[in-house]
Amino acid sequence: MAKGNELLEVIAAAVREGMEEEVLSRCEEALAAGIPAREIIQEGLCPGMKEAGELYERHEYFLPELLVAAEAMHAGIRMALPHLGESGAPGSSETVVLGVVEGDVHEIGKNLVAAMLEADGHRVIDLGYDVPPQRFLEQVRENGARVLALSTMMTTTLPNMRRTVELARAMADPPLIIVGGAPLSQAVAADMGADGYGENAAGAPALLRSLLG
Amino acid sequence: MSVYPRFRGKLIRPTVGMMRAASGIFHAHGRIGELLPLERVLCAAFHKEPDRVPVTHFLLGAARRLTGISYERFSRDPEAAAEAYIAANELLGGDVLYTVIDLSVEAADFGQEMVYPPYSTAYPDYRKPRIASVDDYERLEPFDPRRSPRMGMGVKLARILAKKAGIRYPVMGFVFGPLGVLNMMRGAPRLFADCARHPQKVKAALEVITEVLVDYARALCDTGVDAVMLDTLFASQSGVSRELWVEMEGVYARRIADEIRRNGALVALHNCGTRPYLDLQLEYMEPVIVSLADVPDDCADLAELKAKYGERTAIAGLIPTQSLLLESPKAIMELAREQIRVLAPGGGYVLAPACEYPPNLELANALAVVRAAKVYGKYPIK
Repeated sequence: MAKGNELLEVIAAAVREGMEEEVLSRCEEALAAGIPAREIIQEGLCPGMKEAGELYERHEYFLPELLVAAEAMHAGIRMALPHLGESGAPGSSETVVLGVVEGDVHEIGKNLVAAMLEADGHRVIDLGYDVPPQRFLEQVRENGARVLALSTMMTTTLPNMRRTVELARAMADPPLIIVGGAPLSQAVAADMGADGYGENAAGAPALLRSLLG
Repeated sequence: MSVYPRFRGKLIRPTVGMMRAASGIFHAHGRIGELLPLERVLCAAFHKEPDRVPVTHFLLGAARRLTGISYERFSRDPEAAAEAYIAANELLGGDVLYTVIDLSVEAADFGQEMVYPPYSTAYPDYRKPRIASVDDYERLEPFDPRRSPRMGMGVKLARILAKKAGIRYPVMGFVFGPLGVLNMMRGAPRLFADCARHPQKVKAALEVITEVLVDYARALCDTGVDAVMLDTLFASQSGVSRELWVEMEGVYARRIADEIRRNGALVALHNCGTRPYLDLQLEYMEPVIVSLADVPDDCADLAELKAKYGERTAIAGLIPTQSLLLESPKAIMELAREQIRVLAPGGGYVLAPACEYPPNLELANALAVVRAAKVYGKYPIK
């Protein structure tokens, strides 16, 4: 039986390789060995996802590999969460409200951004796809989110993204707004008033860090 | 009906060798007079310099605005869609007629429920995926695409356009690639995960889909279209790895491409992914022309694309959709001018947007693309 750091490294490797069953059995082993759930998440599951993201940026991984890594990480988090006890959720640096704008159902990029931001320690409120502007605003207000992340893959729904950005900008305490998706570019994002543009999911944590200062 | 005669019910088409020879005649004619769009495109497709660079505005859903029909009617009524496409070419001046309706045509006929928005492209209702569980991959059944609602419409649209185009325009049928069709029934996140975890089940579905798409391609060829365009979106760095693409789509797409050739039409290809695997797609489908949104994964820029692949296939594209959205018509003309300068010498280039012209965007930039071909695309390129 692997112990301590060695076990956390095994968990990270299993996440990176997208081996969900291995992640679950190793997380179970780690919990039984008395490793705190927070440590399992922060030192095992999240680093594994970050490694997968780095491999994606180097074109050694592609969307399928990144997706199965994200699923493996989420499975591990689901197992670890009930064991967090009174210490609560692992240190979340920012709350991010995330979703695909109204009229669009392409959520693969959004799902990966969610996984990458969670792996970087953020609390992500994923609203799914086809999300009306008002729902984004409600969730930003209700959760005191400092960041609003919007995604779309179609040119036909770019006006809906722009409208959501405009409404969010007009809020009393507007969030930082980051956008991403196939029809976007830095210039398109700036033109619609977003604070940041994410070219791909793996770069989302770095983008957020640069915007938050 | 088409420009090609029939003998015992079968279309009699020129061979590729005959088309290549004809392109030489068109090339000579183009030096002294104006070519018809069909002549111009054939000339370019076979790497001869026509009178000027052929151009397509790539108006698909946007074409409906020229005849004032709803998006749903465009998506369901072949006569109305054909009228819109012809209006787009007549009014804006494009050189190619497409039969693309949307990317969900094939999936819808496999039973995927659809949404038909009033101002946007029809799309699958992912809340009700046709492939709801991994076991559903093995439950797909083949059918006759000629008798199915949406592919049947695709065949009717192709027949109408082939007839109306006469000898003026080349008509290009369209078939979405097998992995793309499956994506529309499962959703990309689940499909990609299933490719990793349940590859045999995914392949069982791809077999059935390919069987139907081969038949669909045959039916399109039989309408008299000049070429059939395959869209293998996932063969790019924004899709799957090179190895996975070969395994999950390349081997299936090859069968469709072979069928298109067997039925006498030219194979065309569209890939609007980032850093496409052009070498693999050429190996598996051998297209005469490839429409791209980005330079391939093994090229640094447009010049290397032309140098490395310009002899092997004709190239169409690569005016970025983002530029169409943001830039002025004058800036688009300058962008097109530069692409013409790099890609057009020696023929083998069709000026075009990287992907579908944004359906709700004003049409000034579509006009700019066409205008650029007429102003800057005259051969010899200066």
